[in-house]
Amino acid sequence: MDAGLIAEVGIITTGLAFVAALYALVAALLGAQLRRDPLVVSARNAALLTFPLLTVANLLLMYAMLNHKFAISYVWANSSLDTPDFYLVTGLWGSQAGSLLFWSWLMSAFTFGALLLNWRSERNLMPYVIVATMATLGFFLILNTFIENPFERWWMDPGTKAIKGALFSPGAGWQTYTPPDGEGLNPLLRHFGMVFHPPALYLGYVGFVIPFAFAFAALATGELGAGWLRATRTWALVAWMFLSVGLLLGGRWAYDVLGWGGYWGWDPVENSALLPWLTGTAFLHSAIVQEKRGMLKFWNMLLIIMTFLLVILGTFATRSGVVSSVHSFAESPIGRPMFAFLGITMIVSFALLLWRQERGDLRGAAELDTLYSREALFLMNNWIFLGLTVVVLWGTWAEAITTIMVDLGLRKTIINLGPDYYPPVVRWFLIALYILMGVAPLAAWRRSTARRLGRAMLYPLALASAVIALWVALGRLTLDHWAAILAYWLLLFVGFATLVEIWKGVAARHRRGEPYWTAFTRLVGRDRTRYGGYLIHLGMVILGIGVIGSIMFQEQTMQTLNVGERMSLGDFTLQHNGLYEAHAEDGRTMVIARVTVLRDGKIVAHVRPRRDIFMRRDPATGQVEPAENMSIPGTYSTLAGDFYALITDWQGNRVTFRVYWNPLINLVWLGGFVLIGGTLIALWPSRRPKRVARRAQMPAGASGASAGGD
Amino acid sequence: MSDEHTRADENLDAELPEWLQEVTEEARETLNASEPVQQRLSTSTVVMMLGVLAVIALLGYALIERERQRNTPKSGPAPDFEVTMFDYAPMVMRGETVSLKSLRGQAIVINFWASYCVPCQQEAPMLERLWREYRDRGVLFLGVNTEDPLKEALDYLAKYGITYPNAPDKGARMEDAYRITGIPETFVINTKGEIVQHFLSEPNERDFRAAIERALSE
Amino acid sequence: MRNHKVSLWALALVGVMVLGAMLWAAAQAPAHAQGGDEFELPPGVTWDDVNAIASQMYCDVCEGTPLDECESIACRQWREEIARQLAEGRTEDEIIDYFVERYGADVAALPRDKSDLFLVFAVPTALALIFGVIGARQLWKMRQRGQHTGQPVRRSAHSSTARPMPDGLDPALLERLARELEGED
Repeated sequence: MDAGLIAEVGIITTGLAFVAALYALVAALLGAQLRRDPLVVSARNAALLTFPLLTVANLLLMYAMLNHKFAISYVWANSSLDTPDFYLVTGLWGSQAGSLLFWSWLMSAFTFGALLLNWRSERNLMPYVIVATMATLGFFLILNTFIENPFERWWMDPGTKAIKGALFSPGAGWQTYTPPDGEGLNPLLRHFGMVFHPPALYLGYVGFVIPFAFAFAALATGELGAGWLRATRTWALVAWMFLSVGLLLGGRWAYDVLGWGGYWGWDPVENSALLPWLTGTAFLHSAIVQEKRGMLKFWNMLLIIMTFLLVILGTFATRSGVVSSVHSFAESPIGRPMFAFLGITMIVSFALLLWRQERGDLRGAAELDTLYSREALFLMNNWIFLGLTVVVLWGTWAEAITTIMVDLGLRKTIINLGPDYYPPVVRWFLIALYILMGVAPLAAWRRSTARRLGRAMLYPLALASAVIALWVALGRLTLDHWAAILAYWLLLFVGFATLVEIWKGVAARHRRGEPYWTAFTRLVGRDRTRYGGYLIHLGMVILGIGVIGSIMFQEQTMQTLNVGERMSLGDFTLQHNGLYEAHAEDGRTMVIARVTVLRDGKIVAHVRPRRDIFMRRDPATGQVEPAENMSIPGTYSTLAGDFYALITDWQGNRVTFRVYWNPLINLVWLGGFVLIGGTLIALWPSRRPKRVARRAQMPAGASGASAGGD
Repeated sequence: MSDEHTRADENLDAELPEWLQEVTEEARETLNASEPVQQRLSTSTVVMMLGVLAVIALLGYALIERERQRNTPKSGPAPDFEVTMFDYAPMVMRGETVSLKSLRGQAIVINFWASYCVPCQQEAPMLERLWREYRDRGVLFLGVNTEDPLKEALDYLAKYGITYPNAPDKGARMEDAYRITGIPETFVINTKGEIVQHFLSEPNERDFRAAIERALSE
Repeated sequence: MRNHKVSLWALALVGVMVLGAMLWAAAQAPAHAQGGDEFELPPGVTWDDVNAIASQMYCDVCEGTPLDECESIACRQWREEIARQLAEGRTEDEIIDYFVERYGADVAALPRDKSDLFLVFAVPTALALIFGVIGARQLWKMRQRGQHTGQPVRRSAHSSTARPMPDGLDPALLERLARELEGED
């Protein structure tokens, strides 16, 4: 297929998708206001149509990448002849235009699913769901069609030989120009983490648009009961899972490839993924209260609106350059449209929300019985998550805020906050959250007393204290690490509290005659949400232990060594055995150090930290020159921790090594796996017949098709 | 499912199903509530709406600020500055402090540079040559050093035999004032203190000379 | 005479060995001796000392990367400058203040100015307290209503009902019913 044809069909399908989204938005709005059902149905069809259209567009772009159609400027900018096939696919989201198209495709896919699955069960909400989803999709397609279109081509004027990038021919006689080779993919993206990290994050972001759309519809129609929540519970959980995966992968990628021994830098782009995760987690918990007792309706609305807004805000902030970051995309003109969209969405959502609140439509169905009930604890949970969100926002936006104050004459200096701001502030919120994580499952719904709660806490407290005492006695922890001891104690308490809850369930079934294993599987099978949730909490505990260990007990050092020399860090010794060069097939030059790792004098590993130097063809001179320079660590990994060595600098055979000892860091990844496993269990559809179907007497098949059914 | 309160007391609408009876009860109670619905908005609503507007204002301002930051001044009055020259013997005006005002009446060429920047190294000989040529015609070349520690800056000056005045940009104030986005950047300013031309990266010598001539004549 | 000859041969041999060693050493060097120019740490200063300070600073050139991790030439030079100043005996505070004065406040991870630093942490503390107070009040009020069901309780500007609204009711439906029932009366 010729590049011109690809580009043209791509432009057409993207443009048509935009028109369809626009039509769907208007038709749905009119249909809802005028109560004309045929309009709503035609809106739905237009909305559904966006999915196949965008699928074609994305496939075309992928085809162009895989077949090196460098006439298309996006392909040229994100791949080259020696880029491996695997990375050609990931180049689809390698930079702005492609990632926007990919996002739009995901949005259309999710809308497709949501509309089809919930058409009958939530019929009343559907028009406004279409409005919200199509408004969002339409906005991203505006960006994709008019501002950052990946199907731009290179054109050459046969007379002056001038080359220009444009969607359509800049003038009569201009021909499509095909460069001989592309620029190549950013080398930082050549890691399995980078392959899955952006799609996972996008799936998370887009996933949260669906519950927001339903919430918006609920606010617009006044159907503020648990209907919209139930319909979107699965969507919210799936979106949350992908966002969690995205965050974990991002951390893992940073650890493996960015070469600074850490996995979270509190960079504004990282924060923009974390913030919706925080409000999303609060939302998932708070939604349980509304489903169980009809309370916290305003909170749920607020949380899902904030999650959506934070998603858009994050995209706006990082792609417009308003906050400075390592990840910043190149300067782009999408800042203004994004700001407009963000502003409109904020005003409309909050206006609707506050209007409903003023009318009293969001009043709860019940009240708090006591402060020790689970509802009360969930409410506290919401406040703490909200506080944490705001505190992280301050860290990210302090520079922008103080700049304005300086301009207005209210301040003399601008404050720019780096990673040192977050830990001292964030830790208090995390402590509070973990406390609730341990205590809330022990609290009963409605009536609970301080005494009952206290009694439930005794076993886990005792177990946690016992383990800590054991570690201190064995010398693994010393008393001057009192902060770490307290942190570990809290985490162990939460872990044991969760395990005790699971145990109580298993034991109850066992007493009725089931063998332990059957009791366990049946227990989990019957209430997957709850036990999946417990497993997620356990994952967070394991992750927390890993984080405490790798941050509070990290050791590092940096030294220059000649061949044969050694350096030591704690129990470890590193011996430099030599430096050599190698060439990889994708044009990389690798400078590799042969290093031996010893522990307590005994050899435990041979590792090869290295530098990957990527060559680049200078478009002006045509010469090949070194471009990116990546530092890949040599790591000796055990459950106890990672011994992590990097090459910082080298002259001849003299190498400057930077070496880290990250204790317990693999618990972070392990905790992540447990967390994902728990989410999968919670998501697993149950095979029980749906009671909803029988009771509500709805048309057959409707609730069977409902995504959020049970 | 939500809790269902069953109260079988009311028989008024006996033909209605039970759940609907309860609904009508609710409706009556709502209607019979003695207090009238307030027309005023509650404080929390007002606070939230104001908060939303404040956030929008903040984001809009930040965006405009960012865009403004990217717009290097290419014409109009040159931003004011005050710098103190390096204490470097072969250099003219060694150790002196100057400001834009104090240089009024001369044409000025301001060049931002750093020692590790390759195009800066490439243009350095040309800058020195043109300085020597235009010096007597009343053009002052001013080099502004951005990122270098003292040692690297002086080494660079020595390496290229630079004699025109150079100063460190204390506090990065000049970079902010002139909204530098990269190096090297060169500004040609006329005798009235207005920017005549801005060059991003190495200027072509012909264009450079033309700009200096223009600056002298205006 | 023989001694001279021996020593001449010995000298030649040594010369050849030295030359050979130099050639051998040169052959060992990787073709791209990247990574910056020769820089020796001043005596008494270790990279760990430098990094302890550099980790609290930001390089202007690479956005968002702390100075101890940034790989650009400018950052290398800055680390070398830190090493030089450490050798001169300057303290951590003096060094960071020097960099802030020369390159601007952006260079330090946290503001150097005491009042700015106070503001940085005062804002989240104040926010946490405000949220805590509002949250506690909300919890208390909800609990009060829960404990005293049946009594009319003022709920800000809304019309009050003694009992909260059961879940799942469409307010639009409710209004319609109320109107119909009124009509029936």
